[in-house]
Amino acid sequence: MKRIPTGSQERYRLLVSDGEWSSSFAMLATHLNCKVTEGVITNNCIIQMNRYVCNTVQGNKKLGLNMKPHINQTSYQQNQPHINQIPYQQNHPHIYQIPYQQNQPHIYQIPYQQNQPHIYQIPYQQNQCQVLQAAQCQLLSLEQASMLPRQLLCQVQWTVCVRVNNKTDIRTWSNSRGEGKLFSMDLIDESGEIRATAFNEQVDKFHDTIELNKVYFISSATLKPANKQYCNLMNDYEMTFNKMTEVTPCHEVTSIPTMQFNFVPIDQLESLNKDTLIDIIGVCKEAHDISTVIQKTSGRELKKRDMQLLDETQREVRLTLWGSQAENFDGSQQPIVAVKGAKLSDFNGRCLSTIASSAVQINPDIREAHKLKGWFDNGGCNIGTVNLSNQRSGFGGANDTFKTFGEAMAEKLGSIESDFYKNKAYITLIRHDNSVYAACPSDNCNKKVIDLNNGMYRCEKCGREYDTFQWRLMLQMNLMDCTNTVWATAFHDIAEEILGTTAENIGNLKETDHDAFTKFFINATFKEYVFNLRVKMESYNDEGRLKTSVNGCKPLDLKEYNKLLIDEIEKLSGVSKGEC
Amino acid sequence: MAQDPEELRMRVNGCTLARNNGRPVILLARVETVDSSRLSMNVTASDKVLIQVVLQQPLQENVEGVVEIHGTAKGRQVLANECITFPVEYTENFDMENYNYAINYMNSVVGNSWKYA
Repeated sequence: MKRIPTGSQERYRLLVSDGEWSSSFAMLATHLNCKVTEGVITNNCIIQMNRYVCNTVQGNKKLGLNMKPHINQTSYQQNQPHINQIPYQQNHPHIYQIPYQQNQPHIYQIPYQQNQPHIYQIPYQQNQCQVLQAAQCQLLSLEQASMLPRQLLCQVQWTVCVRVNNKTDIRTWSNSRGEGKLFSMDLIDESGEIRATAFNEQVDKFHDTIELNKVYFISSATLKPANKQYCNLMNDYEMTFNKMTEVTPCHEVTSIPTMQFNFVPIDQLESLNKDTLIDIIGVCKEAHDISTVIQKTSGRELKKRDMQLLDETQREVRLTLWGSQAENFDGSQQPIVAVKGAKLSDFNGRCLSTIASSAVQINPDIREAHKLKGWFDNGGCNIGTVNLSNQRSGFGGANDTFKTFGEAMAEKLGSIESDFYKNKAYITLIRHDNSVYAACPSDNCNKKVIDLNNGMYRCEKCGREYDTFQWRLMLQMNLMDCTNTVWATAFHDIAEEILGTTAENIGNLKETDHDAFTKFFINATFKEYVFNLRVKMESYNDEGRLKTSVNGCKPLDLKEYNKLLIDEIEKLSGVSKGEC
Repeated sequence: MAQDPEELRMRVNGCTLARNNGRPVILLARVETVDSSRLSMNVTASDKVLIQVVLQQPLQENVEGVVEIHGTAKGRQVLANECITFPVEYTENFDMENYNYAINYMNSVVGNSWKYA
């Protein structure tokens, strides 16, 4: 055993012998260096090499690389250190067998053949082998590739055979050092996974040709330590495509696993913590239209699409897709949607969202998908379900659910942060006093002005005096439904709608004709509206008070309300329209 | 002429009329034709089935649009005790489709306490 200085990292070179053949170019994988320092690997000990790679470098100089010796006979000190004639594997004295995953038929076996001691053949399925031999390269598993010393990877032509598990859209960046574009992929084989990224020219070259879920030979990419900030894959390295990188489709049947899901049934979502990344499968019961939101931090416009996923637990949850996944999604055929790495949030109950690293599959050819489809087509589609995302379809959009005042109070809405809900209610009373005030006439100020009694009005906020003002409304209304009443505040535009006149008219009448003024308030009562309400805890003199304000209202549309009630009844009874 | 308000009456459409044969029913329907004798009229029920309504007394007023007949089911007919008319502005926007759904629903739900045993 010899320590060799190779730059910053120390490596050990071993002289290994099986009694008949020996190699003095065995390199110990660096992560096993500790075995030497701990004294587990010493001179004349016996090791079993479970996994190793052979490489030819610098002409005919052979280099055997011990990848992962499993030391099963630790520090077996031989009494006679010079007699190494102990054939460790007596049955196969000439072949280093790799007993790793022997039951898997496609294991990379590298038999050291006696008559060709210097040629390391890789009989990885006959026809693939030809491809590889033609390319004169080494087929490595991802794990092996990640463990090779860096210098060697530059010198050796190597190839990995991997499945593309996820492929991102093309992203662009622009910073002080310039701009460019990139996309990344998650690659897997039997041994592990790795993130691979392509930049600029490589994006043009590969983005369209690399297809999700297909198997490729990828050769001569650059490996570098992974930036864990951006990558949650189980690999300390990541791959970057370079000019030399070649990608060849593999058309053979391989044992490389397809995307591995660990599906969480929807009924278990409520017991999981927020921000957990989970795999989910469900029927897309209903897909909403695409919509856009403005990202607060960057001001960018993002496209999103919400859908309701249903599974055999008879629970529904909302899933949000973003970007091109949202644009390209077609939910009209009620497809099965499987997502790897969706993020769970506790917004409005429970809902799911894809993130950059999420992989979405539509109608995947996996057992769970077929099972679910069978269930859905054979009655699952008509079963009443519980929606964990608390969103009701038909009446209004997302984020505003219908609740009675009784429900809103029971759920303590607004006690922690602002909550929004809708309700159908009557206006039973509107306070006349302080319903209208003289406000600052400048745009977007609306602050109450002080009458200086000299024909001028002062706005404290603007710090200016005006010779005019405008009337603004602020109504305190008592709203009532069948469960309870609340006091709610309605501002200018909404108040004008409710009173059916302008603030100016009300303001003038207040001073001139008090009877006509009160009549507007009386006429506005006992009318039924659908209110969009916001409820929030506000403190007055250190005393918390729930404040409800009206964000919008429209006269009750009976037909629309009817639809909502029918939906509710169907959900509660489990009988759908088609069955009656 | 007015019925006992305590009496159980089932709301029906064309399809559920026969199931309630001989029982007090309420039929909300659209008037198609009124017989010249003014003692019967043809109405379209919410499920678009044509039903004959037989009145006890000749109609005193002009009927059109949606009416509500309180009476007794008899085969494909309803023997009317009472015919309630509505102002046109109430009925022109009437959601007949969902009304029909409600009728079907009331007649299909198991354990509906408003339904005859």
